Amino acid sequence: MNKNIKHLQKGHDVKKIEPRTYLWLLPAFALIFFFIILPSVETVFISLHKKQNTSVKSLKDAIIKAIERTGGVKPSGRSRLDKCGQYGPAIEEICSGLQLDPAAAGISGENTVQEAAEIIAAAAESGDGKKSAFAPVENYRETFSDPQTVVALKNNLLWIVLFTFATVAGGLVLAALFETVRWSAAARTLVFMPMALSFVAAGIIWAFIFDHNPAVGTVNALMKSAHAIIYGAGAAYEAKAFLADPQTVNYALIIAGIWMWTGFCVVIFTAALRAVPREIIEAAVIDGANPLQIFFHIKMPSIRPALMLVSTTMLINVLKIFDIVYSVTGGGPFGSSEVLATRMYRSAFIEGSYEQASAIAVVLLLATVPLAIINCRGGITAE
Amino acid sequence: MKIKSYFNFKNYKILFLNLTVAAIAILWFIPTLALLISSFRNQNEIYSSGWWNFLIDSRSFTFDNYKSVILHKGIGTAFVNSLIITGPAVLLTVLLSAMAAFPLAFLKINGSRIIILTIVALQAVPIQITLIPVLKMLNSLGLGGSFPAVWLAHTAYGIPFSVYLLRNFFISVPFSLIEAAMIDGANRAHIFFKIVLPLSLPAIASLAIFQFLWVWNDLLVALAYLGGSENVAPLTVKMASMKGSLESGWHIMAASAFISMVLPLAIFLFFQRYFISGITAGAVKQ
Repeated sequence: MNKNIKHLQKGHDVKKIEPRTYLWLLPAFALIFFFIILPSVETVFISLHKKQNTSVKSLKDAIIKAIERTGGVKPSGRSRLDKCGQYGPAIEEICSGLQLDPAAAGISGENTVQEAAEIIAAAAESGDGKKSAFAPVENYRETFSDPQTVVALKNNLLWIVLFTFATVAGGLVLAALFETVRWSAAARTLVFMPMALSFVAAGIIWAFIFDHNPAVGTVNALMKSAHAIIYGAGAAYEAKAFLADPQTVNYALIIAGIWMWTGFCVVIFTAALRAVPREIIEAAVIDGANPLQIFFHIKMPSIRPALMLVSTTMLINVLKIFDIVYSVTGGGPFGSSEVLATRMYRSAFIEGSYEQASAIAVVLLLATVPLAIINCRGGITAE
Repeated sequence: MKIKSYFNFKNYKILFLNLTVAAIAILWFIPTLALLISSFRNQNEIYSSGWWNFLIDSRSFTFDNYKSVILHKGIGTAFVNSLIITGPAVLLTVLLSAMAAFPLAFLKINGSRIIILTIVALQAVPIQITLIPVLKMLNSLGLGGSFPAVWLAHTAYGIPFSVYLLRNFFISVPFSLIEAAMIDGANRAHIFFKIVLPLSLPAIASLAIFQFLWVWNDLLVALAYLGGSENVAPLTVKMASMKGSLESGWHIMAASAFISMVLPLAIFLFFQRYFISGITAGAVKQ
């Protein structure tokens, strides 16, 4: 017997595994490691550390405070250090906090407080000192006491509730409904089609539908006609700026999201409903069950795995929701449509605060952990 | 007597169901249709009368929006950039995922269970958690703002899902074929390229379609790793910045959006079967 066969699956007892086998896995796992696993750990690390504030202004304030404490006089930025009594311990204290050598920094009594701050800042920038300190809660406290992040968190919750419920429930209802007509495949294709579009393109489509101008925006045009019917043709209609009004902007965006993702749910539910064994349904029909009873007592229990998969997929999607908010409103007006992912992007790449951005990213990651566990369980049972 | 049967309860019900489904399908299609029609109307028309007027009077039909978008607004460049980003990213993902799925499906290796669990768990990880360190790493490698940066990033982010999908397809390849080849002395590369890959073409097609749509439609990865530079920006980034700058009218945005949608829609409509078999593979036991 050929020795190759020993390494095959299906019951052969394997004593020795060729290390070469792992080479097949290597490229994929190297990429995963350097692009997902290691960066995740780094982000958690960043979020738990506070960058030392080495701006000249904050250092100046710190020196003034320290001299006031050790020397008893409150200097101003222009006071010379040797006029401030015991300045030595104060400078040493600040330098040691940044792990800098005060002698190497070259500060003498002839410098003013302002100059001392500039020298220390330059020394800290040049890279010898310690750049950050362990501070497990500070970034999180700062981030989540920021009113904009709080708004983003609330909006994410709104997305989670409305988007998940609408796509899952709507997908199930549509899947069952479509099966009652002969042209179900065509109907499904139309509902599924938005899945092929980018969120950016979908965002443009919906921004057009929700346009402020009743001659352009379909929703405003419909509301204008309805208004004319109710109040008479002469009554003035006040157009609604759905995407520029903090009261409506989130709902408008969520509608666009639902439009995109319901098709995914419909497709999975259709496949699951079709996999329900025909004999069971026929038996129930013979026993006199009506269609609703069949749906709730026979079909629903047997599509439970699909229901779980669709729900977790939608939850994972909605937690990461970014593109549509970024491209349609950019989080506006006045940050009222911001979600955690857009807030994180803004913190990191516009405000330049990596610590706060990392804290938000870690919160997003933690929110997906239970979903990952559910997925893993599903993954095992599918084996 | 015969006429009466047309109006009995059952027919009403069927009519009602058909109308409901039709209403939903139309409702779903209207937003796309509205923008599609507007992309063929000139600017004045769009701003003076609703798109539905075009259904009655289509004299104002024009290709001018598409012309000006491609020639003057940089959408042509962005389209090419999208192609340059998507092609290698899809090829690389398919190749590396297939290589990784191969031993996981056929060869007995230590820890394959843990590897598969890791892959499933990583599918849920939000990309956001990786953005800052990966950007730093790419910059330190001198790859920041370059196409290889997004090729590698898209491949890495696509691998957890792709390996899982392919492995689930691979295990349905008849094992006796592989056994027979092994007895004939074929090595693993042979088995991989000559047996496993050809037999799993439908799975590979569905994976390629997924990855194509995911990369083509991506905004975040391109935005973060390519930066805002016009020379490398794909369609999504370009369109988002056009939308944000508010300088472009609806005639420009509509035409741009449809140029970005042509390729994914065509692929989706032609290969819908593979796409659907891909997303239902994990969900429903056949």
